Amino acid sequence: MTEPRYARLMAKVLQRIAGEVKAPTPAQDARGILEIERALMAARRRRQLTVFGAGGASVAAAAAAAAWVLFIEQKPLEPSAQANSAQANAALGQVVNVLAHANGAGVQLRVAGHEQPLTEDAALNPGAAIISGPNSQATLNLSTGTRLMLATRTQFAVEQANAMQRFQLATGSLHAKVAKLGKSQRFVVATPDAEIEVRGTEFDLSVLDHPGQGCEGSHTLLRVSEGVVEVRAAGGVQRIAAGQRWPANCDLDNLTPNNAASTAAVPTQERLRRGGVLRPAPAEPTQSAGGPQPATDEAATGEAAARNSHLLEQNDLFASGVAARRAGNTQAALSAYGDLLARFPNSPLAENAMVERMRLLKKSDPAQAALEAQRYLSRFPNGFAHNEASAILKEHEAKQGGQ
Amino acid sequence: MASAAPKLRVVSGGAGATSASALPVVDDAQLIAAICRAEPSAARAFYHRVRPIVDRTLTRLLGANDAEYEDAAQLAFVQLVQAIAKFRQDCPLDAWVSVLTARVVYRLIRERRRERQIFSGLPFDELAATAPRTSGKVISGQILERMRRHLEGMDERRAWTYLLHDVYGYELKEIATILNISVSAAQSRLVRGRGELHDRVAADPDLSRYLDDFAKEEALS
Repeated sequence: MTEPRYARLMAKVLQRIAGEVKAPTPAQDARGILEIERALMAARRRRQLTVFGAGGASVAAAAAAAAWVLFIEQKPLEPSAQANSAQANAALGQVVNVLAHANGAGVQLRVAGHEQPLTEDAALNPGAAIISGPNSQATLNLSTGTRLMLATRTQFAVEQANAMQRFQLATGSLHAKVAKLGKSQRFVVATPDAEIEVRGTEFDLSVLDHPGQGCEGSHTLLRVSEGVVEVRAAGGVQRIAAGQRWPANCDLDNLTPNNAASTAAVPTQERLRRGGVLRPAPAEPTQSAGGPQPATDEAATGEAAARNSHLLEQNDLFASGVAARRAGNTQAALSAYGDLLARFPNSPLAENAMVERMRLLKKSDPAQAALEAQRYLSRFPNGFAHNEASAILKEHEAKQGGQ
Repeated sequence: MASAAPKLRVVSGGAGATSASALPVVDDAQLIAAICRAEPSAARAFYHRVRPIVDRTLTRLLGANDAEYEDAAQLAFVQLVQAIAKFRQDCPLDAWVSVLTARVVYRLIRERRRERQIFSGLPFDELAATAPRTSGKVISGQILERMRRHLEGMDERRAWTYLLHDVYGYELKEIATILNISVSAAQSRLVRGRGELHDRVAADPDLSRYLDDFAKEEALS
């Protein structure tokens, strides 16, 4: 066989033309650290679940399910035969146990028309409802591994808890992280004007007091972070993928940071995926005395959990923008980046989000791109995309001049 | 009243706050152990340890100006954290990070489903603009364009193997990991890739002449 001389020589030439490595910007550093933190927390969660799943499943009483859920919260690294049994039962689609945990005083448990304060963790049977107050939230752990976090002023009821897990969100907001379901299992949340069905995904769902602009009269607002969610409303069925929202035009892009902060109906400001605690998230985390305080019973981890919640939320928004952009859904991507900028204007990811918006708009709406470029340059005069923004502006001005 | 703890403390600092030099020195073994334990406090140190390698690899394989450069970097960090438990430390951390990052790039480029752009990351255009010199000889934009076309015209898998091995210096075992193939398959692709490229260049008088001249200058220097 011929000695591949030219291939060898060409490799030598190519070896000498390595590109120049650019130093990352502080915003890129911040994003990188966020990603790693997020991956570490995910790894920790996975490890906890793996420990539970590692033991052999045996027959156990259904009552053990409540103990299992408690166990996850309190001693996640110690396996329990009871826990495994409960999990196995749940996986078989028999009884799904729902355990409610109040975060803050003022959560009410309603059973058979009677309300009482939820002071201790309580198992919810079908028919039971949880009502959170203006300063309290609640977390619901299902024996399937699903976790529901109810925001303030939320009314949520369990309708069915077996192979069909059916709930009702009458008012307020929730964040759901739904575990993978078995073939015969279903997970449905009904709102006054829609029904949401998912299979192993993550989403935010709210019932608005008054439909917002562009919400097509819908009181329900859904935003999907992961997987696909089916929405049934007004006789129609739609599939909403990760990074998308429903109704599609019901977005928060036009909200300024101030009114975003004051809009109580905006649900996803109240979201936390960690530690079993849900806290109202401010529009921008600050050190002001009036900001939300971590729960005192979690002094050791509360601060870290709260900090991570904001970081995670910012990162989630950015990630959903990236996912939507990759999926070719420019509107959803613009919307996600817009949310991030509106709710966390001083986020370390703000610069990246502005640049992403500018790039997306450059293709779809050059005039808007020029506006975005102008905003970017005024805010980040020495930003990493300075040249790009200037070029967009110049191009736009040239076009305007030509006309 | 004392103010609430800063919730963005981890990332809100400026360049100074994120400087790697401000971090306590820990060796790789300690760092890997902390990441394996999923300690969030190790995130910053890990980031500053791996970022330069990730950047170097991405710049070589994807190009510093690629629109998805930063996305690829973030993806690489996640993959590194997820895979670190499997890192047996039988090679330097740098090499392992580089291989995993290369794998991320490879997957990313394949996902683009734009085969003809697989080598768009190579800095041909930048180099053509700045007219760099190799061995005293200016590489013209035309020559670079020819090289790009030949690589793009090759079997994609062979071209990747050739680039990773002969240009970027990855070992066959590492290439097998990056491309998710066996070592013998990597070896086979490399041999065939070299042969295919040689034949292509041999049929291109301008490029072969350039490379012949380059070889002579190499021999003289």
